[in-house]
Amino acid sequence: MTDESQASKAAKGASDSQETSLVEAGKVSQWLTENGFDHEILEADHQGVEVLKVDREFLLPFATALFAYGFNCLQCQAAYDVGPGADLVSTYHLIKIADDVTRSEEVRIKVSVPRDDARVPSVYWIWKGADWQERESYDMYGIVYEGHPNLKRILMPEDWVGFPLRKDYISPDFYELQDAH
Amino acid sequence: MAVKKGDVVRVVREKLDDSLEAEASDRRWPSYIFETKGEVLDTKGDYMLVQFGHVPTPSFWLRSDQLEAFE
Repeated sequence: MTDESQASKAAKGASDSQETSLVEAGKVSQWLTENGFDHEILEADHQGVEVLKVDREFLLPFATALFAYGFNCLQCQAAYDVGPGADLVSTYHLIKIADDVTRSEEVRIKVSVPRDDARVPSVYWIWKGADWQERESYDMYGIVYEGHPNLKRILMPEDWVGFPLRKDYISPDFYELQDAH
Repeated sequence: MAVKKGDVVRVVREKLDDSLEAEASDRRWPSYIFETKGEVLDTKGDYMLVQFGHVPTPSFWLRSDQLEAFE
């Protein structure tokens, strides 16, 4: 608790120096900047949730720092395709779960990867809830989560070829339905 | 010839094979993309959204040079 209050005091100091940036840095972003975790600030969403963009090389140290900062729950992991020929994005929505909290703190991280080299380190070893969600993102978009203990398709048949939610996915006009196993 | 919105097109196999777009799909291409008529529904930059009405498959985006007019 004392750590947090110190961090927020220091964050106020940082906000004065960052007023020139296009999007104002939020509380979490300021804390990360102070501790040397480089990132890009994206526009907050309609509910005012901070959205931060980080390179895949730094996702693991970045996520570990957020976990240490108190984000103990990965509420949602998802992915999307920005457009044909453009990047694939893996997103992580984090919240702090604690007793007697009416509205928990939230933050969202985005990692952009080129579609011909879609690799992102897995956050499974930080938040176990990433397990099936990363498998789904892999199944639909072909993003390879490196370090995931069991990265195989979860919705499509195991021997399916292709990633159905990519914008340039060409669907076969015939396939045999298989027995689930 | 430039492909534009509303045109009837087919896919050019040589341009699709080994392209960035081919990575999303099974490269044993279904025949409908070469043999039936596709309609360009939308364009975005160099990319076109094509729908093949002959089969009940979802439409997809390809680069304009991967498409040619259906004759």
